[in-house]
Amino acid sequence: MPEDDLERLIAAHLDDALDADEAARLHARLRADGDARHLLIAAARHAAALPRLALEPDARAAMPSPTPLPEAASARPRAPWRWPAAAAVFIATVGLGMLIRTTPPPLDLRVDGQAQIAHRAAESAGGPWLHAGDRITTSTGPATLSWTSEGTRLELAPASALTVEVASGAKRLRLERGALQAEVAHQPVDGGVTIVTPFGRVEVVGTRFAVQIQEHGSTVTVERGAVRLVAEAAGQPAVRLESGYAATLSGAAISHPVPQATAPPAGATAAGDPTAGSAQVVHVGPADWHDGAGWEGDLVDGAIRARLQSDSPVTRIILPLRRPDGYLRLARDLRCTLRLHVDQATTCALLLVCDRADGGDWLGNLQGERRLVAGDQELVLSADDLRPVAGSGLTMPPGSRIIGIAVMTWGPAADLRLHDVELRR
Amino acid sequence: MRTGAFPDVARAAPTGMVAGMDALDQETAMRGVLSDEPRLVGYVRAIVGDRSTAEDVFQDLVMLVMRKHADIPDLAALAGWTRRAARFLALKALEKRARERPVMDSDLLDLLDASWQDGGHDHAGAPYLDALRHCCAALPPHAQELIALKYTQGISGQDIATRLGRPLNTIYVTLTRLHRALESCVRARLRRSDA
Repeated sequence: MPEDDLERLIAAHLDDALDADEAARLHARLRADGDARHLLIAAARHAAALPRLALEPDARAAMPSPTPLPEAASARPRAPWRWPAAAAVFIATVGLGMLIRTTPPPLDLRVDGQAQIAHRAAESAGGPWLHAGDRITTSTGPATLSWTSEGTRLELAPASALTVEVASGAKRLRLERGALQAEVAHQPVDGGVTIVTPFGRVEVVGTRFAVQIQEHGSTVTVERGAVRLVAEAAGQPAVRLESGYAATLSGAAISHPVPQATAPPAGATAAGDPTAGSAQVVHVGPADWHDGAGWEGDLVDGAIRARLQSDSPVTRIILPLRRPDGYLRLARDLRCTLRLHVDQATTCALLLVCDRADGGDWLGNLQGERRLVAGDQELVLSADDLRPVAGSGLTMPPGSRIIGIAVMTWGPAADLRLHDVELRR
Repeated sequence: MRTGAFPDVARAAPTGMVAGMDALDQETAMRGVLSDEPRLVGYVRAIVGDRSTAEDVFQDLVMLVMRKHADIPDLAALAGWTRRAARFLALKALEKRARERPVMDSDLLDLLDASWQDGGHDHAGAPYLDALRHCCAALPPHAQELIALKYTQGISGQDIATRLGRPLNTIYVTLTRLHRALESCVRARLRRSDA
């Protein structure tokens, strides 16, 4: 294969323009020729990095900026089933030290913080400025969306995803997962902000509120002003939710508004007391037992019996703690009481499995241990007795959600029967 | 109060809950993969070709790292882990296309991986981008314009050919030769900065 044919095929490959015969020829050459492989890798790396450099002001100044082609000529054929393929897509990490900087287009919706932006809109210029169709995802940190002309701000929690459906006027955003808090400036007659969730939508005129998507519903709390809740199911009456109240959209219905003090956690943990608005007591016993679904143990004679592990000398019970009224959260006054029976002297440990206060991924485990004598026991552990599991190096901040517990014995592994466990703060 | 050595916490405690206690935490893993974006997207692009698919794969990779960070033992293992995952995700993304035209098989991908590691293509981050920036600025104006059309505006080779009134093959050959020249320039700059 002549060298210029290889050069043509590599560029066509990176342009997604090879036909079957050309692809086969390129692959054959790459198999046989190490230099060809290095050339492809170098070209692919440049092709990935140059769009980032091209967005930098310095690079723009250094490179002539060609006159844009008419849209029809510049549009590339895209597979319609892929959302990022609807237009030029790139991912940017926004925040301090970010690599991508752009001159703001005449728009006023921008995102700041640690977010990934998928610019789906055909008119997107990239960077932090958003158009309808753009999608923002957060992972470990929050991001702020702000309409600079009116002072409306949305704080998108970590591990969230949101799509801008309408960027101005009667603004509409689709919260796909996670949580947000909103500070909405007073809106003109043709304005407003609507947050669409999988379970219904929140319509806002001017207020401060929070939305959190949970497994079975979207919980809304209103700190100031009022919002209008509309269930996903057609024909359901809308509910006006006033400040100080919370309610849950569940698709088919809207729960009766309740004062925030007794409401589920929603996004209320993002500010103020992280343990506010969550469960105060969790009690788990044989009556709560589920077979499977993350539970481990056996229901025997009215108690939960620990299972001997096949790969280590340990008996163990696992109890997930998901509750309809919210998770218990770590607090300094946490007190754990276990009523149990062991058939011989043993070491018993209670392990709390915690995730982040905002509902993000698993964070770490806390463990407390006691040496027990044989017989019926009441084992009480306070927060001071709980330590991060050896080696994790993690500290659990107050407000972390307790999503599950494990009760274990070893040294030696005992026949453990758990009558009940209570976590209280 | 500790009452003696716990026999094997990682195996004794809930699966997936404790196993990652000595592994990479999520934040470190995410920072690592995001800072490595140009290299990873480049790697995927060598396999899949087009930009949109490569960036879709990278998004999937980020989500995978979010979920599986506990499987990565430490930061030193992150680059290899993400490259293997990116390869898997890239091939998955090409499954539908495989009916239309051949995609790279595992033997060829092994060869590419070996070239990637042996050929010094693992340089990444700011020094690489700085070198690429300087090398671009040193290109002649017509070459800069071609780079800008392709990578600032993301225009296809065919549309560039139409716009410039040049044969498509000429555009493709020129682009690859520019990449060859840029690579030579980048390597020279990186060598100087290392010296």
